[in-house]
Amino acid sequence: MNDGEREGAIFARGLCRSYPIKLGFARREVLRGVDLELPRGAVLGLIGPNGSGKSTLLRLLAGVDAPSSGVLAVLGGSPFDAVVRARTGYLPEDSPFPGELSARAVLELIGTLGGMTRSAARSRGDELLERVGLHDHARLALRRFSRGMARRFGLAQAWLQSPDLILLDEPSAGLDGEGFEALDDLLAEARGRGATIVLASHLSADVHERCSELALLLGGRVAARGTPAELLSRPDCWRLEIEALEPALVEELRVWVDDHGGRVRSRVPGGRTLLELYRSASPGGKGVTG
Amino acid sequence: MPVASEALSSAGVWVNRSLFLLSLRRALRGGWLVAALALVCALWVADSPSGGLELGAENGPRIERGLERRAMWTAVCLLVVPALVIAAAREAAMRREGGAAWLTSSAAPQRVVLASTWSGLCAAAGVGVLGLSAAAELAAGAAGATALRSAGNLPIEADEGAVRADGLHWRSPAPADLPPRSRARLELSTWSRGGPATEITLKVEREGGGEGTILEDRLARAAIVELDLPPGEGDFLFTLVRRGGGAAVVLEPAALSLLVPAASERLASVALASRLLLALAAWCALGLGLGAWMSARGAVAVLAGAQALVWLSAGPSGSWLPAADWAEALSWVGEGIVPPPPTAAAWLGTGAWVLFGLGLARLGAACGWSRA
Repeated sequence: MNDGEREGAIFARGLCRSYPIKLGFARREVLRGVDLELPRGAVLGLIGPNGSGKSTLLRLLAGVDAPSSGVLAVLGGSPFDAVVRARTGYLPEDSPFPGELSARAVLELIGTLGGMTRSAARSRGDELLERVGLHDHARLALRRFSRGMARRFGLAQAWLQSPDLILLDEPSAGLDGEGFEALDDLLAEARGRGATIVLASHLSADVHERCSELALLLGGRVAARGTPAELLSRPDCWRLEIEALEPALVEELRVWVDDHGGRVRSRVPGGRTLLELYRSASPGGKGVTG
Repeated sequence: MPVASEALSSAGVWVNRSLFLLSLRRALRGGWLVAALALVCALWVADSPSGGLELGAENGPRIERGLERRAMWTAVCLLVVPALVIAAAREAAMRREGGAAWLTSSAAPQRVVLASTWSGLCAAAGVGVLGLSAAAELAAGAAGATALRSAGNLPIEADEGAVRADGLHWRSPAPADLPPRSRARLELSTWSRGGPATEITLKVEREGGGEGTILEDRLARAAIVELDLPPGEGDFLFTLVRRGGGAAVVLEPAALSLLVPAASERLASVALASRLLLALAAWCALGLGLGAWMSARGAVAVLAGAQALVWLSAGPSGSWLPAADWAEALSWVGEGIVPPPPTAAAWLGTGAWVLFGLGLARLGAACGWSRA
């Protein structure tokens, strides 16, 4: 590996990962030679159908699992290196955090394991719980959290050490409107300080709006790479959102499109977002959690 | 914010407090403490384990308390030990199977993760053993005025171990600094060719003169007799005489033990507790080590099999193996005698097993095979 490759956030060559099956007499290959390079500060979306290897690739990048073969460097070092790990934040697909502990205690535990002092971990944890809207639930055991709350907690722990590389596995799964807002806020903060983000998702909205680049995983390999516009846009298809126009004029617009050979495939009235609805319905107007 | 590399490189940080507390908490959950408490209560209200035994006026109360102690330790150990070993193996297996990505992706060195987890398990073992000791002592009731501690064997210097018509004479060197009111304990058995029982006279004198001690008893089958060792100078001179006819008496090899006064009978529970804590420290480390390579069930099965082999085959030279002398110590306690403290070999052996178990766990965590 040369110095140029080490400068990037991620460098992977021929990365393979397989699991033993049938009592160890056979192996199932999940990654079959992933080649991936990512510069620092990029926001990469990993897309692909179920079983394509997105979560497995993130686990390798986070140093949870070891590759079966291939070369992998993260932030210029091994993902198993303590210094690299301390600069990496990881949100796993599920939420396997210690359910018997409170949100605050788990953040303190994760922070101190990462090398933070207890007081630093506690104050940073409180700040992040506030940002993801869980401050009122800081003393609640994690096993009592709903799926959305657990997901928001997962975001908080991934940002705990202000990491330079953030790995997010299905970050928006189970999030409510306020959770989406918290995710966007955290992503904006991370992008602002030049952190690299890798985000695996099935939702086109996630990757379209939040990623600067996409990598399509198919059969354990990177099958395509490009910007969201390159991979997901159709040059002959547009989505318009129209405000402040009378319904009759909208109908005229539809007729005009038809007359020019186009076709309006969907026409639904716009409305408030769910978050706006929640906020308007809650007494303090600050939204509801959980 | 302090960066991880600074904090992690600081020397001497071996245990993460939060992870230690989490490990302690997880080891204490699962309802085994409640089950242990219920078992203690059941044993408490049950009949005395001495049952219909005739225990003699002199040593009877002491032996009865010893039997109470032994019953409590035996029963509750059967609950506490598996619970803790399973907790250790399950924790390691869960991490190996990817159920703790937050921990396996953390920047903390493996030594800190393992040491914190193991020490939490040991603290849980300490809680369990402390509770068990208290329950055993409560069950035994008030301690007797005189307590005795096993201080090893006295050598028997004689050509034969069978009693002839004129009796058996043998010499046993007296240990230096023998405390006053020490006793000799003999394991005798009868051979019923001449009748079902026999009467014996056992006498012990000092080679340098002085008044000896005499015990007269009637034996049927195997029996344990105790007599006070006389003060004075020189070796002990023993004479065992069979009075009248009846069964022949056989003096078992290594059957002569020395009992010295102990500060309290309750030291019996201390001796058992220290043995159990040493064994649990080793078992928990081995549970973590094996769990890093196989399922929790597999790890527990391997450990149980190995321990059964230890108990079936380990002789006096196996004292470095975990709990190798547990049955012997329980036997002493059942007689109302304080067992000797764990030997230096037991302490060193425990240290070696702990290092081996944690090393195995570290290797498992570092090796791609275990995570495959």
